[in-house]
Amino acid sequence: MVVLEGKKVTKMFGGLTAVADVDFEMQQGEIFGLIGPNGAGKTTLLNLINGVFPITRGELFFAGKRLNGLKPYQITRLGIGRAFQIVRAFEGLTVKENVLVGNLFGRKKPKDIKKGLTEVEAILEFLGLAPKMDRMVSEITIADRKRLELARALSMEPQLLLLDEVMAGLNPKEVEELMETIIQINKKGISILLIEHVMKAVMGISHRIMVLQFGKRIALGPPKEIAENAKVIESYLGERFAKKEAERRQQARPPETA
Amino acid sequence: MNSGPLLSIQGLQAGYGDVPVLWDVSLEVRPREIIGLVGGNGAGKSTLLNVISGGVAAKKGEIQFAGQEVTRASTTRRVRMGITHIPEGRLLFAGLTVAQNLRLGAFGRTDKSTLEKDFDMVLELFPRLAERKDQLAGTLSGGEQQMCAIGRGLMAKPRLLLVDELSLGLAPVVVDQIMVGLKKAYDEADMSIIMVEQDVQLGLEVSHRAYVLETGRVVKEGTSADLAEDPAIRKAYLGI
Repeated sequence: MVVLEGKKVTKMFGGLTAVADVDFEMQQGEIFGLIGPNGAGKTTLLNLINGVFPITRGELFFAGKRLNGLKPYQITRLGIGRAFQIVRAFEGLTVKENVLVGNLFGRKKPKDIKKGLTEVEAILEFLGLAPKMDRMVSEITIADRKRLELARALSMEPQLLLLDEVMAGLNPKEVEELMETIIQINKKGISILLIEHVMKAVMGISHRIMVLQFGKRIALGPPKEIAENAKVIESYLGERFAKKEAERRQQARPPETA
Repeated sequence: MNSGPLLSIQGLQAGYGDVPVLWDVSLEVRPREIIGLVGGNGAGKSTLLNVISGGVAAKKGEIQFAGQEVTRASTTRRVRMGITHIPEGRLLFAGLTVAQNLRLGAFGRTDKSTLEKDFDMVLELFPRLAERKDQLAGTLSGGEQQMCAIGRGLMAKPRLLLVDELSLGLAPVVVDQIMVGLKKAYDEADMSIIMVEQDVQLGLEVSHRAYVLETGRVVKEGTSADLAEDPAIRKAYLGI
């Protein structure tokens, strides 16, 4: 089943086309990586999906429902959660209270705080934040803040989770732990769309990857295919390097018999 | 005066606010060396240049330049010692003329005796700048702006020139013109260069040695010729 579908998705800022005619289909249960050089339009695409920006042209569908024209809070309540690139938690609240906000205002109808707290504690337990749930946000580490961002997104009980560079600023051990956490979230049946510059991570956990450059889709496929795609190599390492790489590969290949 | 490295960095850590970008970087630049810095988005290349020129503070580690510790030195002092940064995106003074931009490059120089000679030299290196020296910098094409930014840097008479993304957004033929000018300047001056280049092949062709950065760490270093053939480069950018 298709969880998210984009048809000729286009976003223009004045004369600048940030996302251009991007078509894609994401399957339910998939971990879908979104990569591309700086300025490729990755975060803009996320902003279109969860309604931060209105789409200029094209259509987006979530589980068959058309998203065009909906507001971010409506899209969130449909079941699309998001962890943001720049963590902006409520600094004056504790870890637990931060997650409770998502729980009370998220997907389901408002309910009583006690029941909400039980649910929040379960999420914090799952993410390994339980021992720190009564700390103020300002007292926890960067890695824990990233987990808190995930917890806040999960508290809205999403069916699809958008992750924007959650690995940035983490050390290799923390990256590995977070990769494992994302796989665990995915195993709960939550589809995941992630933007990530830590290539080891995105290549390691994605089922499929879409590559954008200057707003256009230049490749879509499994990680290994993407890493060997000539267009992708060119966009990341430059035209001259891509040519050399192609020559090297040509030489490495045994001569074909005519 | 000093036969050791011109620049030596040990165990450098740096970042923005709470977010670490460089975890542990050690690097050396010898006199007259051209060093390439390569690595994908977010590897820390520009941050490293910013720490060397003093725009971003080091959290840990040590930076030595020309035998002196400069880890906590002000940007002004580093410029006066001979570190010049040509930033990504050029950052010219758009409302000033090309000539005014170039002369501002020499603002911190104490020895101004050769200033006019250097000014003429820059115009010789980049004849396009000579044609446009009285034009406002903001009206230049991208390639001309890059030439002006490099010229402004050269006017400081640097001993170490930091060049960030020289080729970004420019046509290959324009990049070639700029490289010819920069190469000439290098041949005629006693200067080392650190280049961050998104065009990896170009970066490796121009430099003597290179460092490969991956998420804030040096994962490989070597002669640029060797690295150009090394699969580690592709892996640093694409993960596998």
